[in-house]
Amino acid sequence: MKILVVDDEKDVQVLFEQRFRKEIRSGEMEFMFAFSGEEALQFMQSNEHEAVLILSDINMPGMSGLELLKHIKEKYEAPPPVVMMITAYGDADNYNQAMKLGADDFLTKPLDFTVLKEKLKTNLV
Amino acid sequence: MKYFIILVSLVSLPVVVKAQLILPDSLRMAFQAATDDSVKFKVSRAVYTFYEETNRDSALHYAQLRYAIARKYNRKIEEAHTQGQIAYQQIYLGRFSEALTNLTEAIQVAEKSKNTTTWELTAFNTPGKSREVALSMLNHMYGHLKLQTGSAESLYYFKEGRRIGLEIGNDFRVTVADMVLATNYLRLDQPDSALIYAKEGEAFGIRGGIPKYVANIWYAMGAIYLKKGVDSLALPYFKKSLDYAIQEENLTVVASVYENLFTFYQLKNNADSALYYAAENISVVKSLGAITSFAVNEINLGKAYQNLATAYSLQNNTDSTNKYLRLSLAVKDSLTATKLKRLADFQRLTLDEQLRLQKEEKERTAFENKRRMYVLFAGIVVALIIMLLIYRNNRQKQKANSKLEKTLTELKSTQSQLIQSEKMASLGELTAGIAHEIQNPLNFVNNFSEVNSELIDEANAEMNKGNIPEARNILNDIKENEQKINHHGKRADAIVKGMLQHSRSSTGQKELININELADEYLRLAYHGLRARNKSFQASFTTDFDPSTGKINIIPQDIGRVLLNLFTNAFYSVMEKSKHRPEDYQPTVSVSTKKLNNTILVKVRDNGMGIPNEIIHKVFQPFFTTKPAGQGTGLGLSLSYDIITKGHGGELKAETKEGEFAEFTIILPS
Repeated sequence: MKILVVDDEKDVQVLFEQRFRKEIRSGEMEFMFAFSGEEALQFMQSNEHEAVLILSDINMPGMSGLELLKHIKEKYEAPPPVVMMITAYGDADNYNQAMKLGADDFLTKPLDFTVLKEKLKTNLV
Repeated sequence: MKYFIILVSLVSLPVVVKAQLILPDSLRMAFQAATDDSVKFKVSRAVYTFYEETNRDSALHYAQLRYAIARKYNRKIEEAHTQGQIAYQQIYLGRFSEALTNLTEAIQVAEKSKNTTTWELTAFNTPGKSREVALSMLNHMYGHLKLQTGSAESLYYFKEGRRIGLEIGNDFRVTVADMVLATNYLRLDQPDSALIYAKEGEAFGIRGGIPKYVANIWYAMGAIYLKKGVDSLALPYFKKSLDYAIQEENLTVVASVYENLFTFYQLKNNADSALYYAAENISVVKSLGAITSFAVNEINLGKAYQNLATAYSLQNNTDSTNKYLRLSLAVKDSLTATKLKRLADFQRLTLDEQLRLQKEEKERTAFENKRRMYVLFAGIVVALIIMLLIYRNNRQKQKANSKLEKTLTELKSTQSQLIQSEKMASLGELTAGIAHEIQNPLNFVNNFSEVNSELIDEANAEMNKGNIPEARNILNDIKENEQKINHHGKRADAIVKGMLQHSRSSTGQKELININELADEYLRLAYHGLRARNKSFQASFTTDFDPSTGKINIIPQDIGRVLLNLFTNAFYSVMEKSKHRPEDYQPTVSVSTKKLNNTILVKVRDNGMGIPNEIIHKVFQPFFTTKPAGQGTGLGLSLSYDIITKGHGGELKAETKEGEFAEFTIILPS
């Protein structure tokens, strides 16, 4: 399973690689990283449909996570990738907006990697 | 031969030497008919003039009558004038003391009087200048007094009278003065000066229509030319003068011309003619009767007898010569005695007058000194009052000054309090952002330490398996993570330090700072500050940093404050706009840096509400805010402006379009 992680914090890459090292090693999961919404869109254009799951931060400079979500859900119809939004602001407004735009899940920071792993594995099934 | 012809013509003239001193019927009747005082005053002037030079007692009587009328009606100008006429008659009657008293009084009256219209607006009076006319006349009379009492000052007073007359354009007064001056310069043996005045007088007299005095001037001119030895010019003037005098029955002039003709023929050694005119002269002088004056330049019986004696001596007629010499001496003796007595009286009077004047002067000086004392005293009092006022004023000013200083100190402390509260307000804006910004590194710290804990277990397991290379790999990862932990710990530390620094007052120390990093940091702080506090806040932000800006010398907490303020304003603006236009509006704040020549440009732009033109010039003013009461101090941009311009020698500019965008540009020297 190919997962695209979008976050403007670069250390997220190392963290994910460490947290999911067993899954990566076993080939169960494959992670790709983009550090802005724009970069994520670019990646998706050049590697169409490769990523089946996108984990995106909401608050980023430039294109925000929600805009990215909107693009993905509008452009990639069949089958649209699963998009999970991650944000520090777990308020109702934010949640509703993400859901309205078609987010498949909504996670708040700090991320509980145990929960995340469960959710990813569920999505794989 | 020429002389003979002239002589014949002169002799052939009808000489009227009879009862000439009877007042003409017309005048007498007019005077008697005058019941009204003002009319009587005017008529009596003509009567006075008739007697003026021919019957001094009568002239004096009418002058006194006129003076009484003037006094009765309190006509000051008329009073002075008639008193002057009284004095004139008294002078030639030898009553010098009375004349002096009258003249002195008259001058005082004239000087105090106003320029009123007189009853006598004749050709001799200048309208509206009545006071000057009177003064000119009185000076002239004073000249006569001086002349007859043997003072050389007489010429000065005649000239003074002439000067005033000339000034007010009064031909009469100038003519009379010229006549007298000509006669007296001749007497003083200065025929050239005499001629100048005579010519002037002739011109003024003809212009002013005063033939009576012109006739006097003509015989004077004849005498002047005679003195200068120009006989050919002398005789025509005598003739002109005589013609007029006979025609007008002016006996004084006739007598004078005869006397002059006697002198002329005496000089020419023409004994017959000299005798003829001496005799004619005597006959006219006798008919004048009352005029038996001893006055200088005056028709004089003694002199007439003497002239006749001289004429007879030319004829070698000793008997007649002796007879008339005796008569002459007799007249002269009696007149001389009278004159000496009167002059003595006059001199005593003038001495008394001088003493009186000296006394007056002393009193005046004393009074003046007293007055000066009072003035000085008053001056001192006024000066004291002024000083007191100034002192009081000064005291009040000092009080006001100390009040102002106190207020200023209070204001300064209020200002620093305001600045501090502005800092704290912006710190409040920061806290949420800071919390968020610390949250991120803390998450990393926690996550990496958890990961490490797992990795250590794994490493142990691998070592137990004897898989040393794998264990070493894991240890390397642990080390790498440890560095991440350290990095993010430091990051959190830096954020907290920055916050503390922000709340502290500026150290004023410039440091070399990467402006891009600073701008990025504060953009995030501002964004997350707002985002954390306002749940409905949605905005995107973009950055465009020029990597060539490098590090620049700035006071980081001050520039940070400026950036924070600009970002907060920008976010506030886009938020406000999104409230009204929720649909297709993309609230965006962007920051960019650029190196341009020797300056660094930092632009903060938002697509919010923009700033209305009416207030664009106010945004850098202290306490100006568009936020609702209690939400903004109105100091943010004002302080920012000061920090950039005063603190860093830069510029802070605003560019905006209402409803579309606002862009603030910081220009800093690199």
